[in-house]
Amino acid sequence: MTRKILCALLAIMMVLLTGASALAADDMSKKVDITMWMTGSSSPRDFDLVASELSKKFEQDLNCTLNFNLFNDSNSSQRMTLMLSSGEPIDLIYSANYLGYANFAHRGAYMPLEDILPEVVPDLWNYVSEEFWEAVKVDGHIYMIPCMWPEYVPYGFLWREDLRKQYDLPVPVDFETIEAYMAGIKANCPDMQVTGELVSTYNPLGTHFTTWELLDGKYQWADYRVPYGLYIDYADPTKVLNWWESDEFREDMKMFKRWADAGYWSKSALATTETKTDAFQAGKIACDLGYNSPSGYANLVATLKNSHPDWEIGWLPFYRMKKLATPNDATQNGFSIPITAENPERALKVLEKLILDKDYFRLSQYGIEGVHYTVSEEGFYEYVGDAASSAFPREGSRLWGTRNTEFMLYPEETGKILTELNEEFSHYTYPNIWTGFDEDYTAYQAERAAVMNVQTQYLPAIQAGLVEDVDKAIDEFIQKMYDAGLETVRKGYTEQWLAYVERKGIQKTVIAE
Amino acid sequence: MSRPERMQGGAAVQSALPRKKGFLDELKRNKILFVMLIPTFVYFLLNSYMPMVGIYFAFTRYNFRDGLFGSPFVGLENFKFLYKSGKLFSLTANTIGYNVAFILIANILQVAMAIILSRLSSKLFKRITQSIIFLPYFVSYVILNVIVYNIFNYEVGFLNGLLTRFGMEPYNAYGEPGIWRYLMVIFYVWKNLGYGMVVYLATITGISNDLYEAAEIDGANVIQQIRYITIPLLFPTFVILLMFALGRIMRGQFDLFYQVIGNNGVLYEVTDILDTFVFRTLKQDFDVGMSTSAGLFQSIVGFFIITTVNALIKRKDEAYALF
Repeated sequence: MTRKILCALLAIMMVLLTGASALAADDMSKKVDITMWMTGSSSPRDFDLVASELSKKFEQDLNCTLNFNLFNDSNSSQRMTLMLSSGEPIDLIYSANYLGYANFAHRGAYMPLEDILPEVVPDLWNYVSEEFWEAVKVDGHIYMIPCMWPEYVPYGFLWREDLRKQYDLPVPVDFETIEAYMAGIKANCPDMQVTGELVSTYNPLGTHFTTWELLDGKYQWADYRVPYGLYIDYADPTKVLNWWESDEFREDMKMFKRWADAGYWSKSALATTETKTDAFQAGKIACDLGYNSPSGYANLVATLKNSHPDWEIGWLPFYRMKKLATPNDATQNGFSIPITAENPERALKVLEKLILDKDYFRLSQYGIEGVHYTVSEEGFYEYVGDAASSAFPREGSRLWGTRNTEFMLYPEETGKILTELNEEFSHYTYPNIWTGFDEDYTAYQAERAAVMNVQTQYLPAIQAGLVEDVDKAIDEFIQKMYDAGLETVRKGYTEQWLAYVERKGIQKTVIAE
Repeated sequence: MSRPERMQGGAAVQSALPRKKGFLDELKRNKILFVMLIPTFVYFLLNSYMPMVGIYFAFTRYNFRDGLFGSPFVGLENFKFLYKSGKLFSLTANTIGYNVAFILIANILQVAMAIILSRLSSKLFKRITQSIIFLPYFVSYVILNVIVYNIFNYEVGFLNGLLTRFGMEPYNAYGEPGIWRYLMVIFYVWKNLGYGMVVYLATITGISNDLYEAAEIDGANVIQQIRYITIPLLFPTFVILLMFALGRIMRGQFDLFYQVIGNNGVLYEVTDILDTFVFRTLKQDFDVGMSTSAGLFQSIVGFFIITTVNALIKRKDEAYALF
C-alpha cells in the first residue's frame, strides 16, 4: 500500500519536474511563432515577400515562423509606447536611446537577459563586446542586445554644392560661412526657401526647434542631448553648468533671430510638418542646418544621383568644426525582448541568426539576391534595376539594430564616403563618456512632465527666432520653467550624472586644438 | 403650474396599474423585454463599467512588471503635473469655452440651415446644397490642416498671395494667437454644419403638414410658422443633442486642435485644451499613471457639468432631462 502511494507520488513529482523543466528551457520540438517589430515609417513594396522568405528559413532551422513587422508610423516613439503598454505579446522589439530605452527599462517593460544570454545564444554573447554589455545595463540588468556596427552619428550642415558654385558662395566651414551661404541663396534664389527648419521632439532632449542641432558644432559638450538646459563640459565632466541662463545662450538665440528676420526659414516654421529631407530632395530648400550622420549623407548622395543627377551636395559634420568626435552610444540601436514575450529564448536565437548568419543577415537587410540586389566583383552592393523604384531598397526593413560589419554591403560611392569620413574622425576621436548614462526620473516625473511641457510651449519659438524680443522671451521662459519645477529636475539629473562620472571613474580630458 | 399636474398625472397612471412588488415580478412580467436588454447591458458592462477598474492606475506609479495592482500606490502624486505647470485653470477654461462655443454656434447654425433648406421648394437645389454642406464632414482633420497651412503660410500661402497682389502687407497668422480663437470655431462649424443640419432636417420632415396648413388658414406668415411651430417642435431634439455634446465637453475635439495647431507653441496660450496638453506632455514618455489621472480629472469635471445641466433642465421641464 505504502509502496503504491510512494510510486504515485514519484510519478506526480516526475510529471511536475518535467513540466517545470519544459518551462525553463526552450523546447525546440515545439513550433512557435516569433513576433518582431521594427521602427520605420513605411514598408517597401516587397517587404512581405522578404518576410515570408525569412519565415520559411526559420521554420527549417529553428522550428519557428517569424512575424516580421514595421511600425509603419512616422511617430515611432509614440507607437512604441502604445505597443509596449498594450500588453500584446511581442518577442522582439527595436529599442534605442532616442526612443526611450532606459525609461522603458526602468519601468520594467523589457525582460532582463543577462542570465539567459550566455546559455541560450553563446555566440551572440561573445560577439557583443563586454564594454557594450556593460553600457546597455540599466539598474544592473541587460535589457538590450546592442548593435556592434561602429558608427559616428553627428549632425552636420548639408547644402546644395551646385548652387554654391553657380553663385560663387563661400564653402561652409564655420558659422560665418554658413550664414554667408544662406545669405547668398536668399539673394539669388527668390523661389527657394533657404532652409526648412521645424519643430522636432526626441528623447531625452524634448521638444525643440531644429536649429538646436547646429550648436553641436560650437560646443564641446559631453553630449548635445543633455536636457533641462544643462551643459556638461566634455573636458571636465564634473562641471554641470546652467547653459540657458548664460550669456552665450542669449548670443546663440540672437543669432537665430537674425537669421529668422533675414527669412532663411519660414515665418510659419513652427507650423511646418514637411520633413527637411523631403523638402531638400524636392528642391524646395537649399540647405539643412542639422542633417544626421555620415551614413545618412552617403545614402542621400546615392539617392540624389538617381533622382537629380545634375545636383551636387556637401556636408559639414559638426565634429569637424569642434575637432571632437565620439563614437555612437551603445544604446544607439538594438533589440529588446518585452516582458510580454511568449518565447524569449527562441526570439534570442532568431536574433542571433539575423546578426551572425550571413544568409539571414543579407536576406533581412538587402532582400533576395538577384531580385533586389547583386554583389559586384569588387564586393559592392548594387541595385537590380532602378534604385529609386526598388521594391526592397538597401536596409528596407530598417533593421538598424542587427547591422554587422562583417556582412554589410555598401554601394561603391556610399562605402567610399563612409570610409573617408570615418578615417577623418579617427584623428580626433575621444571616448564616448555619455554612453551608459541613463537618467531615472521616476522620482521627479511630475516636475519633469511639467518642465517638458513648458519647454514645448516656449523654447521652439525662441530657437526659431520667431519672438519679438529675445531677452524678454528668454526671461519669461526661464521663469515658467522654474515655476514648473526646473530646480528639482536639474538637481535630480545632476546628482545622477555626477554619481555616474564617479562610478565610471571618468577623468578630465585635454582636447587638442 | 404645469409641473405638479404632470406629476400627479404620472402617479395616477401608476396607481391604476395592478401593483406588483419587487424586481422579480417585474422580471417575470417583462421577460422578453429583459432578454432584449441583455446585449446592451453586456455592451456597457464590458466597455464602460469593467474598464473603470483602471481608475486605480491614477494612484499608482505604474510599471510593466507589476501591472495594475502590483505597482506602488502613490496617492495623488500623479495629479501633480496637472497643476504644477500652473495651467490647469486656463486649460479647463479653454476646453469648456471652446466647446460651449462649438455646441451653441454650430447648433444654432444647423437649426437655421435646416429651416432654410426645408423651406426651399426646388428639390434639386435643396439636394445639391445639402450635399455641399455635408461634404466637409468627411474631410479628416489631417487634410483640414493641410488646407489651413496652405492658406496661412507666410511665404507661399494663399492669403498672403492675395494680400501682396493687392499691394497690402503680408499677414503672419501663425504668429497671432488672437485670431485662432475665431478660426477654430470657424473650422469646427465648417466641418460639422452638415451633420447636425441633417438631423434637424429629419425632425422637421417629421412635423405634420397639418400644423402648417392650419396655421396658414389662421393667417400665420412664414416667420410666424417657424417661430411658433418649427422651433418649438425642434426643441426636444436640440436639447438631446445638447446633452450628448455636453457629456463630452471635457474631451471635445482633440483631433481638431491637435492637427491644426500641432507643435506651434506660440498659439498654445489660446488654443491649448486639456486633451492636447495631456497628450503632448505624455507622448514623450508615456506614463500610465499620469495619463489616467488626467483622464480621471476630465471625467470628474465632465460628470459634474452634465449632472448640473441635467438638474437645471429637469427643474425647467422634466420631460427634456436625460435622467
